[in-house]
Amino acid sequence: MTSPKINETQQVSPKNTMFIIGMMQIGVGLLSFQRIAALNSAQDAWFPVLLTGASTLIIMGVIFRLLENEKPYGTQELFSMHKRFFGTIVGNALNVVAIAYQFMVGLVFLRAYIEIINVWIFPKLSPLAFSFIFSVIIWYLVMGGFRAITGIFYLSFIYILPLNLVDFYLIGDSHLSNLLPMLEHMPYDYLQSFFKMIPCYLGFETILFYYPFLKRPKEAKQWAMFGLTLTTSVYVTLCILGTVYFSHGELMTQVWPIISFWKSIHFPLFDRFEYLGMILWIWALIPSFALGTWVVSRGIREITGYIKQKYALIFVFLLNILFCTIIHNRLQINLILHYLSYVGFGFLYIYIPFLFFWQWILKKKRRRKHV
Amino acid sequence: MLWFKKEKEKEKINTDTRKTDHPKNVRHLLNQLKRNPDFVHYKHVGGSFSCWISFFSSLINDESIHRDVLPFLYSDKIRSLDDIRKNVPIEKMIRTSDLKEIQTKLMVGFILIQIRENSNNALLIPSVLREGRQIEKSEVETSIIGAKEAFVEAIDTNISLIRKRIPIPQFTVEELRVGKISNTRVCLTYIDGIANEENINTARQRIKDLEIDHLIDTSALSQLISDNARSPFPVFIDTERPDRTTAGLYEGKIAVLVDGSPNALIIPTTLVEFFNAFDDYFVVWHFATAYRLLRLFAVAFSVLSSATYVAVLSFHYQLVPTDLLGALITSRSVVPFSPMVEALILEIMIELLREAGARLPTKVGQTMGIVGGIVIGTASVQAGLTSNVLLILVAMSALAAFTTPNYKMGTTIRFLRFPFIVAANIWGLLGITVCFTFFVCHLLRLTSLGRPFIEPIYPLRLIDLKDSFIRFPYSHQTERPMFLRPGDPSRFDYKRSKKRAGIQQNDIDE
Repeated sequence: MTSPKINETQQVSPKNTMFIIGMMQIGVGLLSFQRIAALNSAQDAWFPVLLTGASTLIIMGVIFRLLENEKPYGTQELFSMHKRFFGTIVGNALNVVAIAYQFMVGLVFLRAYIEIINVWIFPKLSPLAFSFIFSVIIWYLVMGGFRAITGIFYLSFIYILPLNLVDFYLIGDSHLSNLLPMLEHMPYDYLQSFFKMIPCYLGFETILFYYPFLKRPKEAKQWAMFGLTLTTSVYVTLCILGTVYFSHGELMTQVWPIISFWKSIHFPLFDRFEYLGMILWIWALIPSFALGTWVVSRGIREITGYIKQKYALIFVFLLNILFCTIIHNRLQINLILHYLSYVGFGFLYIYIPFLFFWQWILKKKRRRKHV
Repeated sequence: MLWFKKEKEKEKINTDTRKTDHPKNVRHLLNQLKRNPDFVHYKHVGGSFSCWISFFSSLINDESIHRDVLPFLYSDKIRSLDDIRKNVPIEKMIRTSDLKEIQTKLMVGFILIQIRENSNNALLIPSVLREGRQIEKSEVETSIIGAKEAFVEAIDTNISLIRKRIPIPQFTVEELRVGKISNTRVCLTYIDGIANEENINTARQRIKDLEIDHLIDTSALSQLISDNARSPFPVFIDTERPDRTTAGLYEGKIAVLVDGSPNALIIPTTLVEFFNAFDDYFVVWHFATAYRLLRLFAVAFSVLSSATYVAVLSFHYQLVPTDLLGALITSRSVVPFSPMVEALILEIMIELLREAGARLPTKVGQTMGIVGGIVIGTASVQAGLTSNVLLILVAMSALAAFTTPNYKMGTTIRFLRFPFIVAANIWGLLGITVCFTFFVCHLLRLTSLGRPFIEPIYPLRLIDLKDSFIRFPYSHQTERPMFLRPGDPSRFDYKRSKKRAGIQQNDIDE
């Protein structure tokens, strides 16, 4: 069922990698990361945030090598890679794990967003109703193919960027001395913050699935790196802003510090900016959710080989709606997020280097056979 | 089985009547046509030559037939049809014995000449009557500075209006016929070498593949060949201005003309072009840009303002600054309805006014405006049906919607408001955002002749951005839109144009 070559009319320009990666990483996590980052390393939180960002660059490099090395063997994506590396049965089992992970990420994103809306705007907004309407719209989008999804990434990038710039209104009320004393924490504290920041940066690994849809994929590498640098800079600046705007004790009481940021911004015709901010934040959710469902439905097609993607898509959305209604409270969301961050960490920092290593071994083996 | 038989019988009857409809020979055809009072059919008896002459007096040019055709038939030189052909000073005469051709040509204003009434052997002399409206000022897309000419209903006049502006042999006109009964002339015009081959082929194919009985207007054609017939957005621009059409052709677009329609269809187009008035090209680029941005703002305002009002007053009263709250409360306190009902009443009232104004003759229409705008507006506020804040918003958004230069797009924009108002009533601002997301997804998927519809925005193409929201000066628009994938992408050489203009980078006072 795997189509070896993607038609050029369905491919997108490599520049879009930047938008895709940037918007995949900016999600609901951004609203709450400042407290989590400062949990262990207080005023030095920006340092581990920067470190995690830098580490994503390295992982991205590995991913690109992995994908480029795959060129002579077939489709450059994770699903077929799994099948080639480990045989059909084990490979498909791993594929199932991969799509289950992607599915959970999308689901938790959606549910966490509904949670925010419930807490701040509509306490009685039914998760069923919202996830249903939302799924219908995303279904309509994903039916348009990867190009339409990329378009949403690009547009959401345009919509979300001003929201982040608005935070700089707060510089006037900040206390730069909060940053001092600099770098006085133990390496262990940094390490803990480093781990805790990983879930925020997750999402860029989806390039493993859409890589064949990029025109001139060699050029995509630099754009991907741009994207990663951009999100890292966004995270670092927001982290510093959080440190200088709140005192450490106050920051610890904020579940969504960014929303508190917006709360203190006033426009002459618009009193409570956080409402607009939160509602606009749906645009951070739409693209990642759309790409997530696209990956999952495509995965179902690749694994089974006979289910068409459009039918798999409906199934994925039904599952999403079901799980959205099953998850009841913040604690459950946090629990899932907690486990997901472990899986994500394992996937990116252990499994991908392992895959790269395995690919290298296979190459050696093959060469030996030829000799 | 009975119904089956009946069906069969019906079919038989149908085929029978159809047989009588289609003439089998010339005699049959002429007998059929003789029933019409404007059909002239008589025997001409001259000194050396006699023949049967038939034509539609309503379709032929009376003057030319009496001056150029009939006098020659009396001449001694003429003894056969071929002699007529040699002697009558009219070009493109057709000698044929094909019944179908005889029929179609008779119906467009040819004169049929036969030796014997029954013979299929005939000569067809063109003497087409070209009568129609004079070329007049454009009514819909008015222009303050630019050309005032507008297309008319006659397709040949329209082609001449374009050809006058493109005096090169590469300007190509392809004629197609659409409609099984109407057999309407549809002309596909483009500049060969600039227009993209693929675009031309797609357009031609779509028009050829149409399965339809009659075609009346370009707007019907634009709906028939559009990429997504279910979309509320028009994907092709129709314009009544030959200068705009020509500008499109020079960019590498294709213009489609339909006989009987005073519009040209410019394909393919992007969303942004619908908000560009052609006047933008006649003013300095600063102001053109300012007007374009104003129009885009107007569109956003028009779609979102009343919905935001509903959302804010129903759910998010916290958003309103305290100073404004007093004014809102006083204006709303007498209104017995929910904000959505209030907004819908006013919106529908405005739509009624517009529709009445459009259907009425101009002179009555003005009174309608006064009655609607002033009397109903103030009265409804005083009666406590609506709040005056909303009245201002709705009136302004109606005004804003009319800034859209394209009428069809303006209609779409006006009707987009209603789903937004309903969504705002369900989920407040969240509902508006969800509704907005849906339309953005729709626009992302929309194509115009297979090209992405929201093009300079996504896919992002900087060259095309130079003439979209902002209009760069002419000297910077060195390339044709990438969107069209033109055969020859560059308009002129930037460096050479600078050199010719004599702009040198001199120092001060040199």
